[in-house]
Amino acid sequence: MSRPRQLAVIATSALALAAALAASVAIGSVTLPLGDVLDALKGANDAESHLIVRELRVPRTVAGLVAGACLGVSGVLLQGATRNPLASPAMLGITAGAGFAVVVTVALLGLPSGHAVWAAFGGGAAGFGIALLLAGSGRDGLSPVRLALSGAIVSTMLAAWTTAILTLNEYAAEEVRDWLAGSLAGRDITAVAPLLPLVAAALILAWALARPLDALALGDEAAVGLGQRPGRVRLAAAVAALALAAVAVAMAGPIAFVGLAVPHIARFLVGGGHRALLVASVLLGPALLLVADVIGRIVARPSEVQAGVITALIGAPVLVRIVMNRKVAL
Amino acid sequence: MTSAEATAVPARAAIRKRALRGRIVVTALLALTAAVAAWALALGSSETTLLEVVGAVWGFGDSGQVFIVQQLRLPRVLTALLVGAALGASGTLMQGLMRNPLASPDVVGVTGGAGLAAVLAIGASVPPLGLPVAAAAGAATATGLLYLFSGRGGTAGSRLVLIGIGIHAVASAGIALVMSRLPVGRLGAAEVWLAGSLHARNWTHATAAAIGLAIALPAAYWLLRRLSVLELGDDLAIGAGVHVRHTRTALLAMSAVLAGIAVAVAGPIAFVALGAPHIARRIAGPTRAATLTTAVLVGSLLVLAADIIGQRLFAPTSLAAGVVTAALGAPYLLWLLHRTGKR
Repeated sequence: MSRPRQLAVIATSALALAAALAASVAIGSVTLPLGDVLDALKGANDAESHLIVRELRVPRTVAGLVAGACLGVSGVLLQGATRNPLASPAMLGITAGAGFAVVVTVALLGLPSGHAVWAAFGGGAAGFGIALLLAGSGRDGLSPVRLALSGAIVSTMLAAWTTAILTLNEYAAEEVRDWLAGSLAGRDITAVAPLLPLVAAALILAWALARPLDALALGDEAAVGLGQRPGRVRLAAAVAALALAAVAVAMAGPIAFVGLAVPHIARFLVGGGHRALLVASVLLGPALLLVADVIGRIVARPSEVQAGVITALIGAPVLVRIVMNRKVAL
Repeated sequence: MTSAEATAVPARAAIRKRALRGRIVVTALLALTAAVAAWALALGSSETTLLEVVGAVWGFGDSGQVFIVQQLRLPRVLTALLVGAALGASGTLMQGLMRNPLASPDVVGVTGGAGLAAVLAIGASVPPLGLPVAAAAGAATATGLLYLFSGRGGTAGSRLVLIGIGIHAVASAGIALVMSRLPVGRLGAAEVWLAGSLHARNWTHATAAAIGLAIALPAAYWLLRRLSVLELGDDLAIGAGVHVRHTRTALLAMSAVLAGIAVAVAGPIAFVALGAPHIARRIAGPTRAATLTTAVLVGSLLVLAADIIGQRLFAPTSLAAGVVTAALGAPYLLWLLHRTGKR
């Protein structure tokens, strides 16, 4: 794909993200004029609308920005490392594992939700390990079907265990239900602030892995010929992807399909080179998540629908579309 | 004796041996199911002895006890058995059709479609009797979509499974969307139903399930014979004169009907349709009809056992049978996935 076209796509994606950011602070159960929004962002603090913007909408927009970028990049890394079009945080059990771990720590151990991040991290790693182990144990390696099935089964199992815990502990049910559906509302972004260096490190690692992943796409032998070590590249990509997905889950709950759909949309727009893919995904991930969040605020006024529900409604058809593509070997 | 006859004799003996094994397994399962059912009838908040239960079923004994057993416990136990039978049969058909040991109505979105339709019906405050109809319609719609998207040549198992997973995801998201719009008063009803519970099932449920099964199960047996021909592979089946496409469509539809019956009556009870055929294959050996019969019985036993466990494990809080089957069934399935990979 030509360089100018890639640049044009990336510029358009950046504009789309800017529009999504603006919509996210302006639109909600009450739509605010952009003038008020700008005043509030500049520091004005004298009207109710300013309070809404500063206390409610800016935090959830930041949460959406970070979580969306993390999920998009995580998906690119996982798909590149496994060379599997269905690889994504949700398919590989990371999302479900992190979600279950958070419910256990909050509901059973009664820890404050500030610890959720680390629980999400550990649970995500465990889910990832189980799903990879199961999906990769076959003769044909990480085939898309085995990956999807193991992801679906791990998710169903953890969902049932979560339901059981919530049935037995109604107090916890109140606290985590919103989070479990993948909501950006009421995020305490200060709790996640210590993780931002981690996100930055993972993003830098992802950028450094772009060229090695390009080589890997040619096949392991070609990658070795180009001076790469496939095993190391995969491990590094998996670690970075896990870190990013865990942060996203801790921030926004188990949001489905952003990590799957965004890399595919990006690949369709900018081609298969990983540098362009990463840049496009970092922009499109948050754009998709924020748009989903805004839609969720509009469709159910005055209450709202969690962003995770909307991303599933948008993203699952993308999955069906990928699978229907005969060129994808299953 | 020619060499052909010489090999035919041991082969026939092996078939006879397998048939005998099938009969033993079925008899043992029937006995076990009857025993567990009797035990389930005796369990509950009011203590009843087994002897009193047997009397009460036929209307003898203390009138209070007769009421509890005949009107409360018996329909619940029967519903559990019938639902399990439908799920076991549905899963057996679907796994045969997709030639994928991990296919089942709850994985490919049939159950999800039924759930979405039922939640919509609850939202529209359809009378209780309309709920099963809505669920069955949802199951049929999901199956239709599955068939539509898999398209020409899409009967290849793995693509169908993946498309089904996508449909399931859309249905789940749809359920969450509808749930977030439900008024608080109806939210509870939807949640109870979605957990896959046998709580408060009465004779209406049991009768509806029985009628549905009486029609669907014989059809399933008939389709299974055609399925055996199909399993020789598409090319051979065409040679054998079986219209592959129509049989597949009929199989998919019948599997959906059976799953629809189960979901309509008890809500989505996970993993039974997936697990029962596997357990059946392990204990009954690979003969086809025996597998279906065994899977039907294993399914019944699983749902009934899950209901008992759900009621007793954390008493007085009771867990829905669907939660129990999913929580216990999934690890079994993960192990299964691991094992099929090794082969």
